[in-house]
Amino acid sequence: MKDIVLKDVSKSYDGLTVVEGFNLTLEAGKITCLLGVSGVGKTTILNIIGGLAGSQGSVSGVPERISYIFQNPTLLPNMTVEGNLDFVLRSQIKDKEERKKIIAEAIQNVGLSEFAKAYPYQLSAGMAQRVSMARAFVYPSELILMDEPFRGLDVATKARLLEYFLALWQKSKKTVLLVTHNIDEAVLLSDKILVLGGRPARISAEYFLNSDKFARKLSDKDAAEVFGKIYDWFAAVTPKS
Amino acid sequence: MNKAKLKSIIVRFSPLITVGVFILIWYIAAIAVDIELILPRPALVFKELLALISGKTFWTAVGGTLSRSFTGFAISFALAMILAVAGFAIKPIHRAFSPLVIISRAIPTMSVILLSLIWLTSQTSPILISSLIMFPMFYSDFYSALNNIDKGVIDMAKLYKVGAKDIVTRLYIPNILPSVLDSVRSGISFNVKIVIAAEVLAQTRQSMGISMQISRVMLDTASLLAWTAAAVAISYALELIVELIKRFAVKWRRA
Amino acid sequence: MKKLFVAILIVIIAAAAVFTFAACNNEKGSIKIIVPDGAPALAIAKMLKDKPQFDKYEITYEIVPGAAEISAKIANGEADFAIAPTNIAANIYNKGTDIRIISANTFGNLYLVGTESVSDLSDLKGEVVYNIGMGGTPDLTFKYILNQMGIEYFASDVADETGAKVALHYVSSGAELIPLLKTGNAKFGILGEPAVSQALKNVSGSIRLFAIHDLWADVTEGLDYTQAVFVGRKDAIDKYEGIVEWLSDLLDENVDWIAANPAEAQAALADAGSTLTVALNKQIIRACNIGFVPAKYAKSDINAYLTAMASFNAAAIGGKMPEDTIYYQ
Repeated sequence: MKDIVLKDVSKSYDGLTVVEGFNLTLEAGKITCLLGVSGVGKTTILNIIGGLAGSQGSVSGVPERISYIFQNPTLLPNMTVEGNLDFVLRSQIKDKEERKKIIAEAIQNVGLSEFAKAYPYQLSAGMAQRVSMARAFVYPSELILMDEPFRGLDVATKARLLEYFLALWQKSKKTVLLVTHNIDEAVLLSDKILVLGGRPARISAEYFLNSDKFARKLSDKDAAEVFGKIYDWFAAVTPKS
Repeated sequence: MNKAKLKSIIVRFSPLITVGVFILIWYIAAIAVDIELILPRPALVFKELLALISGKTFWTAVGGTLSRSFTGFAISFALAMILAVAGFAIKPIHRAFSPLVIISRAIPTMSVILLSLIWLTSQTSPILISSLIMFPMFYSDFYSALNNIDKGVIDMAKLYKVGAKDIVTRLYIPNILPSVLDSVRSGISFNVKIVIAAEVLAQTRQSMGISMQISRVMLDTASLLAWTAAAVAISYALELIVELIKRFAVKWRRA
Repeated sequence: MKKLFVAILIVIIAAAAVFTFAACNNEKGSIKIIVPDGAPALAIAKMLKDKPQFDKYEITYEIVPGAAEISAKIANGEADFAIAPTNIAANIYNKGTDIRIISANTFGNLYLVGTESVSDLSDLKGEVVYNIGMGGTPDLTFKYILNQMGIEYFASDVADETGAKVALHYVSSGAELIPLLKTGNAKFGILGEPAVSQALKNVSGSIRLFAIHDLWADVTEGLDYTQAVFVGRKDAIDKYEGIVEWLSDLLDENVDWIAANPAEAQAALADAGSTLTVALNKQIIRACNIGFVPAKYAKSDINAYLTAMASFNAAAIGGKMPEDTIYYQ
């Protein structure tokens, strides 16, 4: 697994410059968060990394296979939970028995073993997102791109999802890019938080969190401090109307 | 038996009750008019129907009408599906064909029937007519079905580099199946109706249409109504079959 | 319980509505005489023009689009007298409407035309003959004639290659048949006047080959082809004393009048709403074969006609031969 490096990247849409001369490093095996308000350009950067958008400048280290987790769980409505995971694995792992084993384990990791044969219409939003996460991890990728995956979920559901996410991540430690505007997720999941602001977007602050993610709590001293600093920054930057 | 239980029984059998009331009104009206030629009594029509079913000509006619219906259905289904898929995949195709679809939808059925009589034989013109009428309906429905698939899911499949075969057989086909089957269900009985109408004008041999026409010419209203009842029953049976297929094939939706 | 009551109320109201609807049809002050559009309308052309009144009773004369209207209106009492196809007259009588056949009035306006000359009916073997209306009286008549002449036939739009049978194919109107003759899709077809004259005019090389009523006479040893009759409801005949004789005189004198005044006959029809577009002249009127034969003299010809039709499909005449009482004495 290599680091993913963006060097001197620029991108414009319709005459609007989203980023210019942008630099970013996603360390291999670490969870990096791009934190910013809606419209600042974090999805654009994610798309550039994923190869969904072109750009000027250099993008290196991006692996061949990438997993995605979006706000929309994007599950196939016509397939069970198992079927949904199988859908993306079929072309990657040819051995049926091996696939079944891997899928069963992943489903267990997100606590949905009882719902293995349930259809998406029978799942709650949180459960559907768990399947989406299981799918992202079960897919043989070296990079996971997440675009506001926990948006719209209540605190309790989100907290559990974060736990499941970390449980999945612990087994494989893939490189993760989390794009969000929620500070709580950023602080609880990330190794490195990059705060994005301005137009064109630039990194206005970098925060590192070294504590063990699995034991981390928002009330921890360093976590709370980072949370507070970022929050205050946004509050100060946001124009008072 | 308490009130609630009685009510639930009535609700369950309410369709039958409605049919019963309908037949009752028919019976009263038939007695009031009292002219067999104009409105025969239900019992007489039922007797006619039984007589029809036991004869060979009935089944030959039904077979003829059904085979024409299916042929027309198959042609319009295939054409609509091919064009809908093409139009979905390549938007310019959809735009290019939309005037054709609009025209075929707007053409009065009678025009189609009369024109096809000029160009085709009495045995084949009902097939053209049914295809022409069904095509725009199927095309719109199939195209909508494709468009209604969550684009996020399609994107996901591409991002996860799922094979083309799997995308077609596991994503597209199962997700348009409910809409397609709904469309087929309403189309199939409508189709039979149109084919019969065409058969009357085309004087199609061995058809339900011509049998109805002959009954009419013979002033045999009871027989005409019996044929009509048969046509209704057949349409209903076809709809039921499609509904059953749908129940069997589509398990992943709320019932 | 309340809902059940409402439902029953609806049923009663619906039935009552139907009762009133059925009842109101039978109330009218005047006598109504109807006739199908086309050649049969010529049978009362002078009456359409003069609109003669009987005694103190008002009479309305009306052209209706087809035989279906004739049977419905006579059956429900809206009309009192009508020119009707003979088999239709027997049919409604057998289905319960008490009518009397007063006279036979049209004696065959069907002709076989073709774009190729044949000398004998058997020359049609291996050819396709188009007819109008599968199962209708022109169809049954032609089949009867073929049977009597020992000529085999079958239903198809493609001719018999072995040349042993006549293929019979059907269209639903004369308007359809004429273009087919013109393009050569049809070589032979049976049409009724005045459509026949229209076809002969528009289709170059077409000729009038046979008169169906002549063929009929050939196979029945000289009987008249009593295609349409003048009927009256029994209740009207009884109510208006003397009307039958009065009407019979009018029908009789009409025969010569139309032969002598084709233009006026046409005008009379047009004024009454006829959709005939062909210009009538003396030949066409003659070919329409209008006549007048009182029931008692036409009886055996009519019976023969009915028997022949019934031999193919008893439903054509209403299931059985009508009793003699159908004929006005």
